[in-house]
Amino acid sequence: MKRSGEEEEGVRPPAAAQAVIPLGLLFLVFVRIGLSGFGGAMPVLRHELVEARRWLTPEAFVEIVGHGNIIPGPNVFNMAVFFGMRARGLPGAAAAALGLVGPPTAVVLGLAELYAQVSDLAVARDAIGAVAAAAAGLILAMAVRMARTLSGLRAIATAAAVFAAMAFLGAPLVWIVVLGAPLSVALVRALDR
Amino acid sequence: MSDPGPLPGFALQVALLSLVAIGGLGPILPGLHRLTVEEGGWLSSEEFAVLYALAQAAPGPNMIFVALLGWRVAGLVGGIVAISAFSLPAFVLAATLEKARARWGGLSGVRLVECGLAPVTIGLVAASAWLVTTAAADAPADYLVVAVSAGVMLATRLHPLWPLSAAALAGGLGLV
Repeated sequence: MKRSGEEEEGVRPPAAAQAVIPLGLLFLVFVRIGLSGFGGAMPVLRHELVEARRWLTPEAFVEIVGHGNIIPGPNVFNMAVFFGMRARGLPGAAAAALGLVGPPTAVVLGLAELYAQVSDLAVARDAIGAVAAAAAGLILAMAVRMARTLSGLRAIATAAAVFAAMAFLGAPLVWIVVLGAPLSVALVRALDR
Repeated sequence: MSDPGPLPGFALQVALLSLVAIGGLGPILPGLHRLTVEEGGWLSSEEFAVLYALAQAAPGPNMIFVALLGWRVAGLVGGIVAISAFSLPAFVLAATLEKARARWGGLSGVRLVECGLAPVTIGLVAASAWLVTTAAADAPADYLVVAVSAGVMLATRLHPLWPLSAAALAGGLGLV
């Protein structure tokens, strides 16, 4: 079915031939984004949607990133849902989300079964201990990279307070977010403008 | 009907945590650790870190780590249930937000909310780094591995698979 009046602002028609992105193609493009997104799917997502397929304008992409930041859930996943929804409504959102997450889930569960086969071997036990430490290093690097973007006393103090509440006071995560997030937004409103 | 076991309760907790996962998985790692290691006892702290490494090594968004935790709770079915429970709330919220944007045209205050949420997310990711490091490292050599791995990620554009496999090799050879 073709409803050519359906495109939203920011969604470019895919080439001149057809006005509506086929659901199957939408699914496949997100399968590709999911499976090639080693350590961060965002650059691949941008490349596919903005440059390769030209489905989104650069401005619309930036806008979608912003929206992904204000609701919970992984950014890339939220953006897949936004884009799918914008292009083809609820079926489009479902196709994009399933394409992004389905195949990587199958791959990682397969790896997990393999891991279960070898994890009792002595040599594997030694290797696993070291991999655990290296994984901690990856998270540390992510924290440092994000912390570098903090600027101003307000932002640094907020991050430090959240860190202390979680790491040292053992405050429940849900409460930190439910109370801390609105408080932090209110602070921005009061201090930064 | 047979006893459903811990899976429904686990899925509910995962869905709840997903609602506070602003910006992604990083901020809720301490919550997932508390749920699966400290309270559930389904895996050790070390296994938690190893499964995180496995999720990093596999292609795809790092939210697939949640499938691995579910796998540890209840096998393959557990994995699929966990990733679904984690995705569904975000799916509903994102679809609703997009619908609202299309109806009312543009969203005001997005920048303001982004600015407010960023430091909260960063504080939580820093706490994740702290908790996972103290859980995974108990000897000085372990801290060295943490530091080298973090240093490599910050100083180079190498894929995370490199520090992870180098660590596996060093550990397997008994070097660390």
